[in-house]
Amino acid sequence: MIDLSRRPTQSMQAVLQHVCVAVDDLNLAADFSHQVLGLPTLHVSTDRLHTRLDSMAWRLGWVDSASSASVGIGLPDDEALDQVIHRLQEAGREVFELAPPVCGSWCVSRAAVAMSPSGQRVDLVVGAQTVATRFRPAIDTGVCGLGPVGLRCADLACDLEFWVDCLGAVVSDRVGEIAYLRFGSRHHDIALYPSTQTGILYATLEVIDFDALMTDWYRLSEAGVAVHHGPGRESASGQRFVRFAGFGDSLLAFGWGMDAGCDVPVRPRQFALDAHSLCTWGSRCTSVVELDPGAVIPGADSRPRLSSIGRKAVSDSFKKVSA
Amino acid sequence: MIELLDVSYVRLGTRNLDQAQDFATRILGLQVSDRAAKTLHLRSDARVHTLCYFEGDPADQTVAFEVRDAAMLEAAAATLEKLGHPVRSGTRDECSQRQVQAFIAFKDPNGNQCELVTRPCISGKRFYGARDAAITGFNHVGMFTSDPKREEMFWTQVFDAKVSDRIGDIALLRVNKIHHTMALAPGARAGLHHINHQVESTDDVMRSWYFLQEQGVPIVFGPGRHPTSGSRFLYFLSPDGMMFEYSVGVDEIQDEANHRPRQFPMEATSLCMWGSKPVFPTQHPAAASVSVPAGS
Repeated sequence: MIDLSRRPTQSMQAVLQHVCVAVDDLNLAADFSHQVLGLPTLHVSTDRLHTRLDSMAWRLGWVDSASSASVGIGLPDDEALDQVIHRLQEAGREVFELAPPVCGSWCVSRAAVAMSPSGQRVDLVVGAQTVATRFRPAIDTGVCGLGPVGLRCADLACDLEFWVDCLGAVVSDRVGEIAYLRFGSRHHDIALYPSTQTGILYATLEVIDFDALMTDWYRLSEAGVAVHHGPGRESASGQRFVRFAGFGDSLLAFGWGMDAGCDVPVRPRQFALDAHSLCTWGSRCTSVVELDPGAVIPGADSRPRLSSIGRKAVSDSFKKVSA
Repeated sequence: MIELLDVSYVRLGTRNLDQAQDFATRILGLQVSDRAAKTLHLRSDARVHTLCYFEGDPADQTVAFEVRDAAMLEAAAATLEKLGHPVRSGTRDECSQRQVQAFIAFKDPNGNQCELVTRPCISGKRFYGARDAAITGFNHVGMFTSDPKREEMFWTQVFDAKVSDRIGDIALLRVNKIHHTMALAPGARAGLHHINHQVESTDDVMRSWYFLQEQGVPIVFGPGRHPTSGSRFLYFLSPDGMMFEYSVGVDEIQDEANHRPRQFPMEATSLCMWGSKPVFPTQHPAAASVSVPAGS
């Protein structure tokens, strides 16, 4: 019998488990991951690669279609997953379970897939495997885990209900309509950004310290990778970040130093929608519309989109690196 | 041996005092303590002044160090004269202008103009910078030298400076617990290589980096981190071509008796462990008179 009287956050102990970003060319992305980020990839299937970021079997997935891009939420046990599935169905959300062979290839005991109101795929997994061998990037990037995932939301109000009411996330703070959501004690695991589109805006690779973050920034710059935002520090969360072009419409990021100890309920702060609310140091992003407070959303955006400039910058630089 | 307590102030000539004031306040974030027709005194911490601009040649640059008392000043004058470094005692008016009890002026072996002062004044009024650069104080200088070994010998044998670390033959010298108060820098001319002010946090270094770029100030090195002192830094140029540095987190030497200078190779990573590269003078139009930053 499912007890729905319990608050979602008390019962589920959900965590941010993984993120899968869509890329144009899996082989090129794999080479980039290995040679620039120092993160070897594992071929799971012809359309999917997995990458370790810490002791877990994988944290970052690379997929070849936007419809497969997802954010993965880890749940502690089957009962918690059943609760969430029930809650989603009650809310009228479509949810389906994945077959055991797929779960096996994902290194989880059970998995289900739901769609947010905006159409963002959300994986719900139980029993994600820890690997006994120590994680060590091939390059000394300091990568040590999965940081927050930014999501583009075409229907932010409904998405917010979905994340809070169905998945048990808690709103930490807001910048304009941008909402930072947490499952545990760190400031946020998920950030929802108003957009005309749906999809992963950025996936953050957590690094061990500020030295690693800045060293990685110089390394990316030397490799010719386009940095779109930062180095910067989020005013709401304290996280230092460098967001750079991936191999598709999603950015990748290095992040460190997010505020922790946010498990005590406090009233979410409302920050004004301006550049300093997104970066207290003063970095600005004008190439990615969701990270540019000066951009009008929704509406026509005539500037070059990341999908064109980001890919070109990465491709050019990577050809150079490969050569 | 002449014992130094701390660096006290720097004096810089300028062709345009108004422009220097605008830079020192609106850009650098210092506070005007006194403005006269031909001089400008600025604060960066509790002291009444730590930077003085005067009408003159921008190449006319002086750094002052504090000594303990009049007896030490007198002994220093005698020692320097004996070693062939002519000494001039400051006049009453000059002492009054500098707000020190007494001072002597001399040149080191490289021709760098130096002063030794006693009893530099502290102000009872709190320092409040002209902009929110979060400056906590004037901390150290870089000094040019055409002969690093000779310069190191002078400051460590005539004076009581100690080597904290070396990059190649370039010594970082301390006169108190702070990792270095003098950073020697290779260069053919005499004068100051850079002037350092400490800020409260790494956030302030990064904020200033964006602020200075917005203001069109030439950034010549950083943001970065020196592996020697551990400080996070940013170097930029004044309109007169002087290099200023903001930094935070300069190490202190805790075990004075057992500290052994580390030897770093003369290469880019010894100057910045993050990977920033100094902009060489030939690459930066505004940096015509500036050479590679010291590892400070």
